[in-house]
Amino acid sequence: MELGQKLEILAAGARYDASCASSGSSRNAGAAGGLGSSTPAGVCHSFAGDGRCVSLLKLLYSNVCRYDCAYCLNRASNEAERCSFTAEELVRLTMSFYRRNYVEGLFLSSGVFSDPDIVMERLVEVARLLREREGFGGYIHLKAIPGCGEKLLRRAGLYADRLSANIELPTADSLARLAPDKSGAEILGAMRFIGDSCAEERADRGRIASTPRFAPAGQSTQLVVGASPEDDGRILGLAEGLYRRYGLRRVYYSAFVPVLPDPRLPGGAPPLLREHRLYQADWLLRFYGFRADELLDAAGPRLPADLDPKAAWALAHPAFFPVELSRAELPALLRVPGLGATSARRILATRRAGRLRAEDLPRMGLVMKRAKWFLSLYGRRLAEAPDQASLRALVADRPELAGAGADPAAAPAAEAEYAMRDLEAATPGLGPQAPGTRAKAAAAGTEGRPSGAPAGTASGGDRAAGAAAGGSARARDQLELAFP
Amino acid sequence: MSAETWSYDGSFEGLLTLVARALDEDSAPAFVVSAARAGGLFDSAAARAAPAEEGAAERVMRLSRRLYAAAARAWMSEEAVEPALLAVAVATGRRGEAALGDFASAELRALAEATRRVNRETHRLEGFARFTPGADGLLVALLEPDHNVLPALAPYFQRRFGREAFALVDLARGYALVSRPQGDGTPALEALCGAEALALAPRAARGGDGQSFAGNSPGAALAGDPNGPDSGEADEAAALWKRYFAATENPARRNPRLQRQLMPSRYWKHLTEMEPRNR
Repeated sequence: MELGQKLEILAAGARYDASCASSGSSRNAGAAGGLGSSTPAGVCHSFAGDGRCVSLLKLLYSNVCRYDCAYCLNRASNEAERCSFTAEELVRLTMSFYRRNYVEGLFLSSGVFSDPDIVMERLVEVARLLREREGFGGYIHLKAIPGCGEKLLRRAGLYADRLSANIELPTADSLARLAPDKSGAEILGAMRFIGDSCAEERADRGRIASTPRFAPAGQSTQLVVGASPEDDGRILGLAEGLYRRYGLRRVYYSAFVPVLPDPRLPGGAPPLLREHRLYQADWLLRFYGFRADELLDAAGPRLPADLDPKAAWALAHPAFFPVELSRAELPALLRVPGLGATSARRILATRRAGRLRAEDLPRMGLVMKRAKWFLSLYGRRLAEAPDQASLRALVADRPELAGAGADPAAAPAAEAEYAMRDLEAATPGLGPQAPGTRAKAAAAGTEGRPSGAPAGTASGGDRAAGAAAGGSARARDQLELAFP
Repeated sequence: MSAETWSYDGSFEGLLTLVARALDEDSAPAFVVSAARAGGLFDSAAARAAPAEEGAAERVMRLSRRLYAAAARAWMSEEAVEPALLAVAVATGRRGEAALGDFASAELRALAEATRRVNRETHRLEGFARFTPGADGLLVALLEPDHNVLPALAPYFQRRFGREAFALVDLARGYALVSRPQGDGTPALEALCGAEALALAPRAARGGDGQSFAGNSPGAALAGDPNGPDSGEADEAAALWKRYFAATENPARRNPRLQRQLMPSRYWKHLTEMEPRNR
């Protein structure tokens, strides 16, 4: 088959993987006589017609697959044209696209065309050729093929910036139903190995500077949303568990697209709004100090459709507000709907520069449209909050959807246990807190998660406040500064 | 702030001289005339411009590297933010770097906005620049930046390309920065102006007479015009890239509005994958 035709088929096969990040790593092979560098922030080289960033050359090594996963275009029972690259073809494409600044590097996944060890070995060989023979210093993201040996994962991590094993579905039950050939224990086993290896490398590097890097941009995963009946609570609980236990950098949520008819799958349009709300909630977990159970306390098992999850939390915790602009610390400011991280830091910087005055606020470039209902300055509310119902309409970004869940198709909470518990039971040697994830979390800036939790709020907030108080002394100090 | 007008020659060194003067005098002017922007006033503005002083850069850097970086971004923006920069410099001289976080100050905000625009344009072009190998293997990118960002882009691409020689050609401002490795492998930067810069662009991109950049899309020329590309391999790579770009889109989630929002159409002219028949 002609190279261009393979490229089309194997790009189309890889496009359902949402991850395209080239961030989190820093290399400079140019200095060593090679080609390429990568910067911590990542670079988007283009935007495809679906609006997604094109950063990496995202390809399958092969779309030949033994597995028969219901939701996947490449499943064994689907009659599709099958082909595979050679390692040399992939190296040539990557180097040539990289020199022209089309991409930041390579994202290589594959159908499981043979034993997991053999598939993984092929992927590792492409990365090895790029790094060792071509002196390539750009970004490499390799899929970990669950079930492959740890030695291969180890080698993969030495060449790749990021590794990822896709968890695919939110519970072991759904995995067994829709992806019967995959094993949750193997998937989590691969994640744990990668998480531990990253943590070990970091610890060793503290003592021996020449310790070889292991997947410096860490690991990510992806799950399909809307192909199985789990609610948002279960999905976010799983995501939080993955962040905490395996030190994941990112969990990607992919709205289920019915590409093939299957009696096990729902039909209809992809649940894009639900995916969007999950990403918003995920952001709150990673950067805003929220915990999954707080977000779902406020919303029930499903995130609301009309509101972003932060606004939903705020409406459910009126006693946390108003947040006092002249004294509140970052964790409290980050909980104000409409205030992002940039605005919160800007408030702190301006306070350091001098006393904050009411007339400065509109001039500071802060968007107060939603935030004003939740803020005070020197004891005076910026705006007197109306009753709850009107406030909800004022802070909603999709008020026309009030009363609906972001996830109208989802069934009520299913009978199965949380995936983490299920799968851990089947993964020997996995403790409640995998080693090293704490260090990882600190590196990712997610330590001290409960820092901004409400003190002395009513009902649902009590649990959060208790957790915050027990969480860390630092968090408590920050709370006292914010709410003396 | 005094009601005076200060002027400079439009160069970065000239601007740093004004910053140093503001620090020394502990006062900033209300107006600044740049000879580069003054157009017809050029002669009189230049005549009154303070000569660039040796040591101004060191003077500013010693006080605050962040202030120096802000001055560089202000200069690259080509916007009339000099009075804001000088006011912020005076505040930094009095209160230290806390002044650089004082968003209650209108001057700091204006400076931060200009900086943000420059940084955004730089970051976008780090991704959107498309290089084509020329006759001697020189990788050439044609750009028309909104701000004068080549000085910020060049170090980025030096890290990226290592020992490969490359050129960034600013078609809007008529100059180019060329980076070539020296004997020891470290890249050295050279600036070319006017016709010399123009000569770097692939022939087809310059138009039929070889003198004008106007008209043809260089991407289109590289895709198949036998007179355009200087390298057969570039053809193949560009053609493969376009096929990849079309195939990587998820048709179930087509969203051209979002695409245009994230990648405004003013960049499309130089993007291989955005040639009309590929859209």
